[in-house]
Amino acid sequence: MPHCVCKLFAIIKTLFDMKKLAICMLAATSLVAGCKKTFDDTINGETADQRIAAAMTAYQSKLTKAPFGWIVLETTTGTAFNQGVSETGPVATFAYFMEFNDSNKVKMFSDFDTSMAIVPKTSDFRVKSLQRPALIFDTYSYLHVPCDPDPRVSKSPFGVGYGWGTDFEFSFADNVNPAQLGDTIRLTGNLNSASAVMVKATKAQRDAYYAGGLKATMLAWGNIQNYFKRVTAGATQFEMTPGLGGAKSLDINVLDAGGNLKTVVSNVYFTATSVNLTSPVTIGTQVINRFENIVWDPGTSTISTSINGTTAATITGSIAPLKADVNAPKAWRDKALNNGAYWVSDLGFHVNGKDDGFGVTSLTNTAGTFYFYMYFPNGYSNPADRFVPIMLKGNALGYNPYGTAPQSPPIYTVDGRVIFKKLGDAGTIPPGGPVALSNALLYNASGFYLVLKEDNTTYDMVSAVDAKAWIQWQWVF
Amino acid sequence: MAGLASCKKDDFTPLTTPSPGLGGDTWTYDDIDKFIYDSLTVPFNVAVYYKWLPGQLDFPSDITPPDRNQVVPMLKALLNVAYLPYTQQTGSRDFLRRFLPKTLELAGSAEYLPNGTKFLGQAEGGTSMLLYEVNIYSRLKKDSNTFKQTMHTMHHEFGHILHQNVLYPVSFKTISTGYTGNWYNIPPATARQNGFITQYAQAAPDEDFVEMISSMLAGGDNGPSGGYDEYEQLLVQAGGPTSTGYKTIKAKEAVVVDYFQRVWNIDFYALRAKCRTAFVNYLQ
Repeated sequence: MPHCVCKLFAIIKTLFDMKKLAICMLAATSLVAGCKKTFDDTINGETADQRIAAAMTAYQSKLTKAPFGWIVLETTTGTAFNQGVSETGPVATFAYFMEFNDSNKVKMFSDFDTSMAIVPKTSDFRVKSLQRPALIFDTYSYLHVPCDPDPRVSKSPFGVGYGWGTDFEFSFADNVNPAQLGDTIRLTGNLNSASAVMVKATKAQRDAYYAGGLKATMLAWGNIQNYFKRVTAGATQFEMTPGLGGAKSLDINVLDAGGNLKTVVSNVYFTATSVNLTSPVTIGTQVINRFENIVWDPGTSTISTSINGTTAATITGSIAPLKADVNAPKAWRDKALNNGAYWVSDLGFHVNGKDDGFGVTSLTNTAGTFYFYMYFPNGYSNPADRFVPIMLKGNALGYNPYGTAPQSPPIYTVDGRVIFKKLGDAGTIPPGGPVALSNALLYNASGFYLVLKEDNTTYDMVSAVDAKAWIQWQWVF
Repeated sequence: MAGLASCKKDDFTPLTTPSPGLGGDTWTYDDIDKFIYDSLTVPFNVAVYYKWLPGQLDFPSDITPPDRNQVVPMLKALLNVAYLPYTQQTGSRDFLRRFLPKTLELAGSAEYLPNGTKFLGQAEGGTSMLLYEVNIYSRLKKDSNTFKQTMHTMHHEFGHILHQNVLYPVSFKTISTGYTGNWYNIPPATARQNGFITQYAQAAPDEDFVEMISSMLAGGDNGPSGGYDEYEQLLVQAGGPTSTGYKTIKAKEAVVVDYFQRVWNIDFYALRAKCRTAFVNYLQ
């Protein structure tokens, strides 16, 4: 700026016009006054570097000075990014307990699975000044597992190269001076824009995590292995079934005044003391945020709990739905039949609390490796249906050498079940193997209920024997 | 004129606080950092980046940093199984200290591409090397396929460093035709029958050259056993000694061996023997 003022003076000298000279000298005077003013890029006397350094120290201090750590919830947007391309899928919420220290170490528990719920893992973190102040979890931790691009690790349905759309590099999102941060800190993920909320934990919460409360809560919640869970709280009754978003998603079903089934979709996350719904659900006049004090009674196979900590409730398993969709079994089979197509299951039967309970995904033989299980109405020309694994060899798909042929059509009952009868088997089925077990379950005498899920396309086929086994059918056409 | 006098440029705010992050991020120095300094930075002039640094890896991609419990074991494996043979064969650390890329980056996961393939390693301009999948590294016998893949990757990337410093004879590029971007759709056994030591060798002459190096030193995947097999077993898949595939690969082998001797004064077969011994001795 002083440079310009000097140039201006040179121009004025050559003008020699009184009026112009007067104006220029007026301007020059104010510019002279401006030249004296210090070039000031400080705020309250501090440079940008000083202010950023102070902010980084303040952010770190907020994290490490929480006396009992933090409960951290991370929720995805339903979109995951890799290589600049995105995939969409179910929204997920993950819950953690974390403690940060001033040596850049963070210790955490996670509700991703029971092993992460009980064994705390130490990893690293740092705060860094990026476009926005950032919190980076810079070595692998439980927090990284949901966004691991290997689906065997993340259990993500988005596909290879994508996790669930969570993040481990976050921007502080409260847009206040860090000194003003209180008991809650908000974060936004830099890759996937996942949002995280950190809330200071109480001593009781911290103690509950270290005493194994998270694993106990998760195990108790999972003790009811039935597909249909019936919740009773006084006069209120509703049903919970597994949602499409994995083990932590729920479909909540309730009968309205007209006796029709209404479904609300919600995710759950676990803390050491509660099972929480990501969005509160209103049933009648009851607003449900969470289930506290989960206690499993093995004698009665019942969970007792208190809704929101105030209303006593019990959860039991049911072998029948709250209201069966009597038309669903025929609609399910007809959809494939009318399109000359078949239904696809990635994991085969879920049995007694375990996905792929019969181990079909490990099936390997001369035809290749397991790719999906197929139900093909009139897949045989006699006609008969076809229930068989499809195998992958090289880049080609083919039938497993052995399978079974249910009668076409199956039996539809008036109360909404389908019962399959065997017409015959194809090939030599190894006794006791995954296919033999799957066939035996298919032909059980009580048959299956069909439940159409919230995407109006996917069906869960639930065993009417005990509702503890089911298979999910996806439409891939 | 007072204005002229004050045109001297001395009205700036002096820097007393460095820009945050100037010179690299800092954190509390711990045993991992000490191991890196003592075992890699001092002897080999190599800096190791294991903590997530935004923008350092391919961006924007879903890649994770390594588990801190895997970092030192992985570095020890590199030192003992991949680096030590070069030091033993050349008689000193000078060769590695000169040619090892000064920056070694570690990623916990792989980097997956939309075409269904994944990166296991990258080398850039002789200055940096990136190894992925540190999180699945293991020295147990039952995981030896994974360990072999890591060593194969390291020799592959180091091979790039060497030819990025001194190129191999251009005659190598015309031993085979048929390099293709569709390499991942041609099965490994077919590639060998066509004179390419691995699937990836079909991608380009540079990749072919370093796949020869790494397959001879550390074996190649999808061999006759179904997993990682030594070079001699891979040749079996190429066909008998009179087949085109076998003879093509042997011709490439000759160029590699000659290159190492002429350019780097390294007896490649002796180096290979040392690599194999180091690997076997390291398995638990």
